[in-house]
Amino acid sequence: MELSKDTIDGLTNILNINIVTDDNFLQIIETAISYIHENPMEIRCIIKKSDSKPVLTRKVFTDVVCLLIEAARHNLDEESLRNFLNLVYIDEKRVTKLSEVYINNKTAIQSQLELIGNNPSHIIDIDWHLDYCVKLDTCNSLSVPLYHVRLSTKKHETIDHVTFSCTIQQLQELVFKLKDAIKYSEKLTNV
Amino acid sequence: MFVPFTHGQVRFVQFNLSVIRYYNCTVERFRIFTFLRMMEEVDNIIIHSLRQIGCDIGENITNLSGFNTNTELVVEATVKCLDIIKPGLGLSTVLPVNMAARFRLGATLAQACSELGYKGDIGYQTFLYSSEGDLRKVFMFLIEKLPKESDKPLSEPVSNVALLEKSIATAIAQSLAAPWLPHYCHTKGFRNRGRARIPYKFVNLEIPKMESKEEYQDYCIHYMQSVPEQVQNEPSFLPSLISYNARALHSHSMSILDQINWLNKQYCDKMTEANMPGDVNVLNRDSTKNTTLPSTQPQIKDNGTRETKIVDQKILDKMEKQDLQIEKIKVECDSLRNDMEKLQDVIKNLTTSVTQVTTNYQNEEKELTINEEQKKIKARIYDLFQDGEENIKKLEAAIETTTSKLINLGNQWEKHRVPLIQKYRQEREKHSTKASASQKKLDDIKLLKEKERELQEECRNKDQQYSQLVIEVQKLPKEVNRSAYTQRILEIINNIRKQRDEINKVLVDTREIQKEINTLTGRLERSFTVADELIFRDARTNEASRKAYKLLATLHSDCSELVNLVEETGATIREIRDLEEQIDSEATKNVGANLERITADLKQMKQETAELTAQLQNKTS
Repeated sequence: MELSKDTIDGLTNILNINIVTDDNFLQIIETAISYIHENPMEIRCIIKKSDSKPVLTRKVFTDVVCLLIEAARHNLDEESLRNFLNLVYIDEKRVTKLSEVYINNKTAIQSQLELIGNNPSHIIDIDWHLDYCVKLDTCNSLSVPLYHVRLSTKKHETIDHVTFSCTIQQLQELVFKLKDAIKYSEKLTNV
Repeated sequence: MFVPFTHGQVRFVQFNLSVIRYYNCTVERFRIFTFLRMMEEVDNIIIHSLRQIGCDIGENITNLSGFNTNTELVVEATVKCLDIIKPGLGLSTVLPVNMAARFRLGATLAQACSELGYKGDIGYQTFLYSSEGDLRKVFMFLIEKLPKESDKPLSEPVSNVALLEKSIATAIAQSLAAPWLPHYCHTKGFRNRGRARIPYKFVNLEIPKMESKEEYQDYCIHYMQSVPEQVQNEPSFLPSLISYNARALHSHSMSILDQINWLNKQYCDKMTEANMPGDVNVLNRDSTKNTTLPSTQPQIKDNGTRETKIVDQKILDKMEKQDLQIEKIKVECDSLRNDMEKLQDVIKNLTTSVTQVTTNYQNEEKELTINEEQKKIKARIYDLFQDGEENIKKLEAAIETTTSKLINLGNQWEKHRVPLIQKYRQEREKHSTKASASQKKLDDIKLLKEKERELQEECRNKDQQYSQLVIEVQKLPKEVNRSAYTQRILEIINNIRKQRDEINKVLVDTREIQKEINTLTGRLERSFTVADELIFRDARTNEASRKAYKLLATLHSDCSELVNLVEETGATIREIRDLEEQIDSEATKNVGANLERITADLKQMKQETAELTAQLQNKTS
């Protein structure tokens, strides 16, 4: 895990009893956690309420949130977080408190992080009907079955539709491609 | 004019036929050669695998034809294979002497093989009166059925790539194993992985810095929005923070001064790198200086000595005077030292006397105090003497009070003492229990330490073993492994491909030659008819041409006869080859030897049955 120098400075401040008081420390951690859990209204007032060193508090709040997020991103366990914090500043009580808070909220943070990202849309449903095309115009008879397929895709909570029509051969080709893909992914599991 | 031409054509046809025959021969030879090569390879693989599973196959046996005459070996190999494939059959690897038991063993082996899924024709004769081809088929089947090395648990992959692949495999397997659920159920956990709900959008956060000017601080306190407020769109809070950290980690300062400093630093680094050899030069220079310095000093000294020679005499006089003075001073010093020693002795004596005197004084003082006390007591006694009775009473009363007081105090002391003693005992017990516990713990620790030492030793031993084994593995010949086989198989495939190409080439050639033959025969026919007509026309008038016509006719018929003969010989040669092949295939089954063995076995059986009937008759009679 890597954190910027600014953030590490902020962490040394928050771990130092002489700079941040115990009350303030707990308040900052609580605020950070509750912000990650997304109920921001009350937090704003806490931030405003807090105390004599508003600049420091603001900065330190950001640093704590940064630390928690980065630790969750790297999937650190309690021990490694402790080691990291001990490198920054040694205050057993606060380090313990911080890592305890982290462990209690790790899965929550990670599931929050999982929700964020850019990915191709997923196919979630499929709808189809079959037409039988008898004639192309008055002169030419065609007599070919036509599949109309509608794929429902989902990206970032928005559901979209992809529609296309194809002949039997094309559909078969698509199905073979899909089967190939499945086979390939099954093959990947047998490493 | 036509005769030599047709004759040449006939020769050409003959030549072509011989070419075809040659080609046919080569194709045949290729086929047989590749067949033999492949059989050899297959036999090698079979024998190698049998040796690996522990069959005692002699070094001189290199292919399966060596098995033919050795029924024991065949049975042993089959039983071992079956044992490994399907443990628990309980067949003996030794061929029994009794003929009936032998047949039973052969039948059970055949049954086991067909149970495993062998599709070919199999019976006791396959093992007892074996032919090479059948045996090869059976062993190929059995060896394919042998449990492969890949089935055994492999050692854990160590490299990062392997670990990554493994984690990918587990992730994919997990998601493949999960049952389907509608999309609105994908909210949490691994199902949701890769299905982000919130796009990664971030806001450039402004974070207050600690060490800056007053105005900035003022701005920070009064006007700067707090971080949560800076992010208007609430879901982009986490992305903003991640980007903030990343930016802070990887950013380069944009101000010109910083960039110039950075450039200067780079330049300095380069310069120092370039100077590295220069420093060495400087050092060398220093060392050369050091070496040159001593060489100059002697020169100076030389100069000095020249000057001193001039004023030698004066200095000598002075030296004598100084010597005298030194001797005087030495004598004085000696006397002074003697004085000092004497004085020190005196001081010592005086200090000892002082200590004596002080001890005396102390003793006297003690005596004085004792005497004074005695004097006080005596004065008191004299006072009391004046009215003795009363005083005695008073004294007795005082004594009584003191004794009662003493008893009281004793009782009180007892009262205090008992609980204290109890407490003390309790504490001591506690202490002893504690001590024993700690002793136990100490023992435990000692045991643990010993165990640890043992384990460490074991670990070291194991490590050593491991390294030894690794060395052994490196020493082991590596041709035994699968890659050698695959390489061989690839080689064989290449050979086959080459041979197929050659066969194709030969086929194309034969086809071309056939075509050529056809065209030539056509041309021959045509030229013959033309020649026939021309000569026939002349034949009525000209005697010579009539003769020529007759000759032409005979020539033509003779040539066609010749061609027919050549073709027939070709056909017979082919037939001969087929027959030879059939003979070979029959010979491989070595029917004759097997028949002999069967007749021998039959004789033995008859003998055994005769013996048994004789025994029966004996018993009945």
